[in-house]
Amino acid sequence: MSVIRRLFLLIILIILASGATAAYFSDQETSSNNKVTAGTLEIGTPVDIDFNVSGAVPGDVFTGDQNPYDIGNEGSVDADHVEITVTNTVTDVR
Amino acid sequence: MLRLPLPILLPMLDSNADPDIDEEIIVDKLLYGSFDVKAAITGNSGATSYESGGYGIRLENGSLLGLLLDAGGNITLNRWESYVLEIYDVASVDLVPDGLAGTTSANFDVDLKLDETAGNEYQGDSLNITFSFTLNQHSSQ
Repeated sequence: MSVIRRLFLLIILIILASGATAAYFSDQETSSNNKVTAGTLEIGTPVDIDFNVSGAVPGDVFTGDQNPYDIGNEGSVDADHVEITVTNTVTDVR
Repeated sequence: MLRLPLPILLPMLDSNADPDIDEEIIVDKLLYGSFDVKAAITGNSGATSYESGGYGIRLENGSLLGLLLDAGGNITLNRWESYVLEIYDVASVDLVPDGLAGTTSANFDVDLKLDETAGNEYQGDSLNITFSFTLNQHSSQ
């Protein structure tokens, strides 16, 4: 066998060997249906308590027109506590 | 040498010596669901919190509940304005705070009263009141 033929066979064997080791099975999946949505904390529809009082005299008791006021949590996240504050605006005429 | 002006201390003077009517508007009824918040406050003035029937109350800054009361033992709107009142749910088994379940509700029921002792200085005075409610997330979530 000539030198050229031997070199040719060697090259062919090298190519076949390298090709066999380069082949890998692989698989890929894509998960695209992922979503993050923040939960909600939502007080029920705001309704004015509606204290509409005029001509009050000492000893009078006032009940709001919308009493009781619904402060339910309509959101998806539990609430630990509710904070209630009062802001007063006084008009002093005397 | 740096010289700093000495502060001049003056007494806090109200331009109108007439007391504000919110000192005479008292809470006559205060319910959160079935929880009697008014009774819980007036009956536990020396405590910083009170829990009963699955609910609890406290002031946000940890002060005594009695700071909401005037000399006559009434919850006045004037006093309440200085504090944030917190109502929380308590697990009845182990008293570990447990959030109000989502999508549930409770009613806030309040009646106000012009104190019987209010004098002539309040004639014609008026008061606009705003109640603000804030729900807060449970720390476990």
